[in-house]
Amino acid sequence: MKANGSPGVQPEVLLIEDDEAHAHLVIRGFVKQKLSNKIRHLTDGEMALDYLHHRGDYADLPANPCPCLILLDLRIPKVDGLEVLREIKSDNSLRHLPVVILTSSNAERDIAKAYEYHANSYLVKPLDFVKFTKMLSDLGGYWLDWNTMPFQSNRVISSKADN
Amino acid sequence: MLNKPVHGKLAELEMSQAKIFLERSLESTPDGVILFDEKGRFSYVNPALLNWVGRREEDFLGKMLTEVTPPVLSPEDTKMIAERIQARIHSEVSVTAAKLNLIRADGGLIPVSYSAASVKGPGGGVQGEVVFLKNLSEQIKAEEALKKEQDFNSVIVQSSPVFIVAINAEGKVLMMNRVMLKTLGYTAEQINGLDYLSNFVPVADREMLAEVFRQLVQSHKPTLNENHVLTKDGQELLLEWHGRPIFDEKGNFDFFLGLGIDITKRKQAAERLESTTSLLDTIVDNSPFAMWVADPNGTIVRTNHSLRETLNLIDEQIIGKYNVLADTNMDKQGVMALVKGVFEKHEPARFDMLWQAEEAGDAAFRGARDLYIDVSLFPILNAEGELTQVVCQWVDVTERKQAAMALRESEEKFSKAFHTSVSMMSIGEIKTGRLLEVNECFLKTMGFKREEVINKTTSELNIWVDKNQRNTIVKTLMKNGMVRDFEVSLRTKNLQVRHVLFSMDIIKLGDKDLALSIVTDITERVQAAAERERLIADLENRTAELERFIYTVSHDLKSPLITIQEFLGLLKEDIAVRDTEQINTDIRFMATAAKRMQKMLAELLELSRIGRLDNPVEKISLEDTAREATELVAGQIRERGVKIDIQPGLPVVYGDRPRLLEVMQNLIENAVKFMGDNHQPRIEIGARQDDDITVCFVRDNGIGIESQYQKKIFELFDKLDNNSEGTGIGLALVKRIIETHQGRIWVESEGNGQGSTFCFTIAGKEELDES
Repeated sequence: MKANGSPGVQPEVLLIEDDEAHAHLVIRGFVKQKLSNKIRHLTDGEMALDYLHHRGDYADLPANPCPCLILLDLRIPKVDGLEVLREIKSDNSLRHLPVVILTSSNAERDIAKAYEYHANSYLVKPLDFVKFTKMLSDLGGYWLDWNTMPFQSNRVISSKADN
Repeated sequence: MLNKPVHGKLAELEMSQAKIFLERSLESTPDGVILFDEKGRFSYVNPALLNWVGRREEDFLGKMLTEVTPPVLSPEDTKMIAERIQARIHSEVSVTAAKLNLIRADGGLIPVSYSAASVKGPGGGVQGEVVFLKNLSEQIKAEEALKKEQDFNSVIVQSSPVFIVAINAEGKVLMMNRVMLKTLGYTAEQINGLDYLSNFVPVADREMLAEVFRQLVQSHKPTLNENHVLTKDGQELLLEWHGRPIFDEKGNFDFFLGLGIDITKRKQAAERLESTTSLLDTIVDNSPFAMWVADPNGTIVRTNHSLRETLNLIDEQIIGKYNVLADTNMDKQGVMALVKGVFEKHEPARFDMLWQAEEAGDAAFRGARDLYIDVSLFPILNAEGELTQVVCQWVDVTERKQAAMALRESEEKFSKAFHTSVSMMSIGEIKTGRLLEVNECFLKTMGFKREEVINKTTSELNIWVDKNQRNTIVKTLMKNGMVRDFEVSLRTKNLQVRHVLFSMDIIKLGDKDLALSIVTDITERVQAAAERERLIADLENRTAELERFIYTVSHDLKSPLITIQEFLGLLKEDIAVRDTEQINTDIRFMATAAKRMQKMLAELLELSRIGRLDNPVEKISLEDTAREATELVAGQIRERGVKIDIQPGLPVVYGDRPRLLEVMQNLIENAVKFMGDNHQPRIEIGARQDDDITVCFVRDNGIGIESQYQKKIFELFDKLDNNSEGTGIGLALVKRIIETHQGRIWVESEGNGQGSTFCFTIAGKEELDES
């Protein structure tokens, strides 16, 4: 299986993570929840912003649709995670997107900055395997099952009713 | 015109001759002549008269005297003469003589004597009148001059202080002048005709004086002798006589004239001294200054009120007791020679002294207070030039002296404060800018000698590093009257720059405006502040770096740990289900993470060592270093097929050889790593001159770096490409090494695919030594 979601498939989650191993872990966790086909993996901040703004390699809108959840690492090349967050939250058309910081940093400065830039949630990657697995499953369930997005409210409600 | 008498021819001829003679005489006489006709009209006026009165003939001819205009006589005279003329015509009066004033045309008067007679015709009847006028102007002038001269002589004789006496050949007194009469006690009437010798000369002098008279008559020469004269009341006066015989026009002896000068000198001198003494007494007594009078031996004989008051003593305590020549104050103050000079050489003296009652030589003075006195001493001499008294005047200047001493004391204090101040101080003339005085600190700090500074301007001394600072100070001083703590730079004589705080005030000295400068050298303070700033900045950098280090460690070092932990968990699951493919993946991720961690730890350790020069500073050829580094990474270069070009011109620097080798190696490795997919990879190593600075560079034709990331790449753990094997420490390490060599590093790149040029500088030897 591939980290990058293939074009054409509707992604639910945009994973921005430079560490290949960590990306692998997240994707594998989502696979368990049968959510893997909804993940799009990007490896640096510049790519993330290009994707969200439909620029450069990601100009084709149908192939690169807007995600309903962004998982963002902080220490990523080129454009720093906090900078990516700030840009998303200061853009009228992107601001509503839930951004969950998923990082190994538990530095107070990072946490404070993330919330200052209106991060929707801040998750520190646990060192413990069981906790890591649990966190990923809770994350998927919360944001992708329970959470309702503004423009998809009808569909989500009906999908919940189906469950 | 004379009427023709009725005579024969001869008579007529005789008449005409007489007429010519008469007319000639009338024309040439210096006297005035007028003829009136039988009616009393002018029939002739001679030229002399016309000349006197400044008129013409026609002003008179045919006119009556009363008809002449302007009148030639006063109205009274005109009336009187006109009446006489009429009277004569009627034969009542024959002759008129008078003194009149003729009135000239210009109004001036001519005194004349007037005499007139009637002219009778042959028949005896009156035919007219002839008038003779004599001009008296010259005569009157001469008379007045004579009178004046006589009066003058008389005044001199009478008012002269010299005795004047005239004695005739018989020895009788003819005349004595007023002074002599008064002195001897006589009146002019009493002495007339008295025998001179027996009445006015004491018996003892008579024989001698008689001989003088005889000599005068014989020799005709003036004599000089002294003899006494007697006053009416029998007193004798001594006179010096200047005798002179006076002769008449025929050369016969007429009379003696004696001029006498009273030479009763001794008495006069005594009188004069007496009056001087009383004047002196008055002055002494009333002087507001303390005065005493000493006898020629120096003993006080007189004091004045002011002296007694000053010393708080009475005359009995001073007079006859104090002797100035015995006053030890004079010796002590070194003025005794001056005092003695007054008594012995009669030279006035003046001096200041401290006079202490204790030293004055008499017990009576013990109660008097000590004084600073301005002493004037002057001798009083009699007519013979002998010292009679010495007058002394004391002016009590104690208060003035104390004020002066207080002033000097404060001046000394100020001067000491000025000269010993640890601030530079100077006093300059505002008008010219010239320095009048500077203190030791100024000279020491600025490196000048006093004589190099005094009377020079600060511009001449070239002490201003920035002329504008001087101008600002002057402007501020003129505007506000002072300057406070301006931070300026001054140049010392040996061209060192000192940072100072400059304050200035205007002070007035007499009528001059002076500027007092107080300058505090803060060079050390400024240097210390700069050093402190540098240390703080350095510390801040270190702290920031440390923070970043701790932060990145918490993140970057944790990442591989997380990887290992999680994949270990997955591995267990995968082993349980015997998923071989997953097992291999898990192990591969764990191994990569472990290796990465190991590398990071090694590099961090390396980084922690930098920040000081570990190895001795030596001369290093960067060209050699570049070659050495190239060999160290030869494997990677060969593998990627990169062409390395080391250009000439790389500098020789001083530094830490192993560290600089590390720099080269890192930069070459970095260039190789980011070559991208270029088919002709190439690295140039060289140097270029940017202004005066030698810039070394490592240039590649690899992927390049966009401008926004060019700074970021030197930060710890920052990397642009997550696919690269780097740990994000390499360039941070290079930067640290360059910085410890007082250099700078940066990257130049046109962006993606345009290649990168890593540039760095290394300080010269001196700069490195300093640090």
